[in-house]
Amino acid sequence: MASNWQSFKTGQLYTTERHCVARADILAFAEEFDPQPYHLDESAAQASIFGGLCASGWQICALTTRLLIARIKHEGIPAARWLKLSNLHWTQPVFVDDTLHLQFMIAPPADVSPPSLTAACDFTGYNQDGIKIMRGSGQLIIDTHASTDLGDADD
Amino acid sequence: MQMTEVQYVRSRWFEDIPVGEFHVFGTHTFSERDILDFSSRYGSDHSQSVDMPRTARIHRNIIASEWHVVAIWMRLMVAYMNRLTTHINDGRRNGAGVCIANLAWLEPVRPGHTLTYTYEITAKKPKPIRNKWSIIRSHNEAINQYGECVLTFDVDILAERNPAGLSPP
Repeated sequence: MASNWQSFKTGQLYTTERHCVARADILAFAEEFDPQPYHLDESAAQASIFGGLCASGWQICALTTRLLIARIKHEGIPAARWLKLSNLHWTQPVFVDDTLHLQFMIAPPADVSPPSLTAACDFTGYNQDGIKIMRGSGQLIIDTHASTDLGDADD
Repeated sequence: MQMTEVQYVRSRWFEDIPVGEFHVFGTHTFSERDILDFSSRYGSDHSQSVDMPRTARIHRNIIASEWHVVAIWMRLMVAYMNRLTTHINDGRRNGAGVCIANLAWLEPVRPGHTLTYTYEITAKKPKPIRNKWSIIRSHNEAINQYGECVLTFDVDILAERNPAGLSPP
């Protein structure tokens, strides 16, 4: 199968699917990975700087990365993942039932070494009211090799 | 002052946390089940397809998703802070994160790998935020059992100021 990277439009703004963050999802992630009161307890959260029960920032990182990668895969890219993030800001809390999406742009690759390449990616996350909840920039490693063979190693 | 009049309790105020302080705050061994479980719930379905550069690409390999390695950092950090602030259980205790910088996943984390997490206080920004907090920056690393640094990042968090040093509301 040929790589679809050639048809990916670097420098163009892409928009991900939307995802609604349910209370149960916030609680499940927080109980396991970020058990702080403002992610677990409504009244404690209301008294906190956030003013209400909100998702762990790391859950938002994982969720938005998932949306980002799914959108890239939708363009026919087999796989991608973050290599580094030079910066990431949580600009507003994500509350129960907020619906998020990302807009992102991938720059022409800085380094191409098949079967993968690395390219800069800037992204901004929004909630259902169009309020910016996060922004950042980093380097993605993008798999451009579309083979589905199993068991062989290549370089 | 009587103890019953103390309104704020925190292990330490912003003012009391010294730049240069270094902590080894936890270790965690990643199991195959944990890696696949996190990947299916929160990951991006890449655990079996994209490896890191400088490593042979082998189909069907299993490596921990990026945010799994960081989520464990958070879990260990919360547990560590809980040990330092026993019986304190409100939102004033731990500062919320504001931003991260220089985050890099340097080596793959595979089933059976054990990471040791460290942080060092690297900077303080005294400017008060909402007359209650100021920013503390720490440099964080995770080292695997081979002594390789697999994760590094800086994070800015809000640390509560000593109310005695702030202007009255």
